[in-house]
Amino acid sequence: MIYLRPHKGASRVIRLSATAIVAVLLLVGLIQWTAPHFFPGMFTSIAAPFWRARFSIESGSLRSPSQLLSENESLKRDLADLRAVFASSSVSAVLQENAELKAQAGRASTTPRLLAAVLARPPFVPYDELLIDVGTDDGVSTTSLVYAAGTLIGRVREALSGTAKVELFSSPGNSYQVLIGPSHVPATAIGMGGGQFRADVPHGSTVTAGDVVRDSAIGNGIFGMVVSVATDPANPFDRVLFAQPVNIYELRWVTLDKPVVKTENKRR
Amino acid sequence: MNRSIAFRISADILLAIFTIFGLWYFALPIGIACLWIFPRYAELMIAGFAYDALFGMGSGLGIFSAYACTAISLALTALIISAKAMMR
Repeated sequence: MIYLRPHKGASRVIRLSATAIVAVLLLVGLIQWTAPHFFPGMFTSIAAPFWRARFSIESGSLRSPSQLLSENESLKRDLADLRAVFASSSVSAVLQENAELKAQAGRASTTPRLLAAVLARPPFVPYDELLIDVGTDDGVSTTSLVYAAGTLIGRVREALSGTAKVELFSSPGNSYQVLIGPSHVPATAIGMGGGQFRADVPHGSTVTAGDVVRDSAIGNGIFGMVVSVATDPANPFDRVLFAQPVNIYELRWVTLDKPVVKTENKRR
Repeated sequence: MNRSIAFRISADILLAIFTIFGLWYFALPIGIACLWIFPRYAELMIAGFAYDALFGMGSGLGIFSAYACTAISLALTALIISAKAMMR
């Protein structure tokens, strides 16, 4: 009787492949444990030129000069109109009084801001975060707060040398202390993603759609606007849904608090 | 150049571009198809790890969120390799 001998080569290949895969995984795990920014930095340096190219294309670098000039003139006219309206309205007077009061209370904001381009944003980026084109080389750290159109929208979660990841406050599960409406009803805002929040306020609170939501710090301005208030007589709390006044999905520029470089006074 | 090598390189370029721009819903079907067609296709695992490195890893995210795509690509690779071995 003839018996077919098992082919030893295939099992050896499988063993070698499995050993190689396990070795690679262990090596990668070791590198991640000892230098957690190595792989993110490496892949980000490969991807950043592609993100910047897309940003340039979205900014209109492929449009004709005449189109860009026309858009520039139109934007200048709109800006001039808005400035005229702003100067003639009572808003500027109220803002000036607000700034004077803050200065008297010693809370005037003199923090310069750092401008950053948004390289990637939701929905193309998961986990409700932004990728911006400034990093530790520009003084950005994981304590930097991020603003869009004057609204506080998030904080830096991870800073590499030339880029940084911004975690939006509206990320699902994040919570933040806010004050809602003209009565400054305190509440905890829970992120729902995409710039949307929910908060529970006591039943009977004077919170209505359109009310302004501010963060609990005095200097940071508007945090959002109330979209709707759901009232249930059987529930001791009303559900407030509010959104940030900026569209996260269309963000192209953000600002960060510029770090203050401390200089030592040397005695001579 | 061998046609299959050219096809594999083209697929890898597409996979890389979709991964860089976060279009995982385009990258995943391409990776799965290439995993079935080509032998010893490790690019899907690399793409999953790259996706996590670009958008996932970092403090604040749980370990499951930070390495989700890496785990999914490893699982898919093991699953499809096993399926190919059983069927062929």
